[in-house]
Amino acid sequence: MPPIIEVENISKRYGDHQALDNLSISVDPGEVVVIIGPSGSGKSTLLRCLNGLERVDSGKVVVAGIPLDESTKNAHLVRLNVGMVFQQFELFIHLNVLENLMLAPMVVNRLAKTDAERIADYYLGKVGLRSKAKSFPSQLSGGEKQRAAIARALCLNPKIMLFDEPTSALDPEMTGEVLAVMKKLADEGMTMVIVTHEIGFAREVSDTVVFMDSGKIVESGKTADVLDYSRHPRTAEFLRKVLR
Amino acid sequence: MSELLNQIEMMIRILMFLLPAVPATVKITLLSFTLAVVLGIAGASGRMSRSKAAGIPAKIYINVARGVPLLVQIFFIYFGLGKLLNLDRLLAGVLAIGICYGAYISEIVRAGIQAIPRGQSEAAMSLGLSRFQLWRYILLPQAFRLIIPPLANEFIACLKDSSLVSIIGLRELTRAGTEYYSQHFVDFHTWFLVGLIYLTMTLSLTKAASILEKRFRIPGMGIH
Repeated sequence: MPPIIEVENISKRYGDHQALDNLSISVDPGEVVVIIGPSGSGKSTLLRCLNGLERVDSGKVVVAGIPLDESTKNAHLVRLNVGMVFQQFELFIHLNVLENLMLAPMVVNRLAKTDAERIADYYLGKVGLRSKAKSFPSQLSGGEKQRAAIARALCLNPKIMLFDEPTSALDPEMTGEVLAVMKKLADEGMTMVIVTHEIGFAREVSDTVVFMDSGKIVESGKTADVLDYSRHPRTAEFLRKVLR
Repeated sequence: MSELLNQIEMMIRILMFLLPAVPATVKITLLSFTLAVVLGIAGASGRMSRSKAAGIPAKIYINVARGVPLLVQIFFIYFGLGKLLNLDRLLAGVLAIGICYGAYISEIVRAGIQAIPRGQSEAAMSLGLSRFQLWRYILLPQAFRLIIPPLANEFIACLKDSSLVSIIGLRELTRAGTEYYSQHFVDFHTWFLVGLIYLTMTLSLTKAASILEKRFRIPGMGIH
């Protein structure tokens, strides 16, 4: 099967800062990729280039067969295939949990209210939040917010899920519930690209680990190879610091 | 005693003359403010747009409409444009007030929208919402809650400024006051009562705004 995400020689700069430096990566359908690396290494920027939240300065990004170029239409088509989960959850604060989930199915997919509600209810059940359907985001714990945000992204039935440090804003005792939901998704065969510092989770769930530094991929390969037998001293040094 | 009764009777007579003009004042205010809100949203989205084709006209509109006295705009639209386009008094008055207040409201809407964290827009775009849908379903509903107090201010100011159209002969509350005065030469009582009617209306609006604020409270938005 051809890769579902193809990134070729992309570069991106913000003023003097080279966020992405001639980087290439491809992801196969069903593959779970974890991106690790020090802060400022370009991990989040790379992720945001995969659904058109950031435009690359040069290079090629093709997601689900759709090239992300200047066209807003293509960016829109890509977003229908790609769900994104943010570090700060970004639930819509003026809507309750159920309305958060129903919005895109109704507005983007133009489903009837009852159909949207059925879908929302299904995914709320999946992340274990049915009882919180009528709660507002501010009334949820961090872990509940992030599970709701994952359910919201799933409502459009995406082929790919992007996670931008999904547990970094959570208290340690809440990371488990979010990682459990993500693991379930991975087990069901979802293609996932995850920026995280949770090395244990990477080891358990991911097929591939990518180590980034200074806008470049320093090393990438099978999870166990990268984590246990890193070829690059920079990777080994980073892992030593993170795992200590 | 009979002097007091005379006073009361005169006040009632003036009130009876003035009150029928109140609906006109309400009508002018509601129409102009509706126009102003529409122009305000359009102006704000134009100013915040990345496209220069939308940004530059919006900026010119805002700066011109808030930079010229409303009274001058009323004269210009009624006497200037009105002759050319055959505008009646009501339309000219509503247009002038609506255009002027639209400029103020543009900046209020823009401030409200810029106060919303960027992540809300990114989440909406990631879900495939178009720019229009982003404004319609996410930004405006959230901004509305933030800007109820300054918007209520503008509404009250708009109600008061509707008195300016009396000068082009539109028969509203202030015009009725002028008419009564010029027929009976009772200045103290007439203008006291005109003022009192305006005050009653603006105080009701103040109350309505605080009810609206409570009604549209968003839990966890960080405002009380």
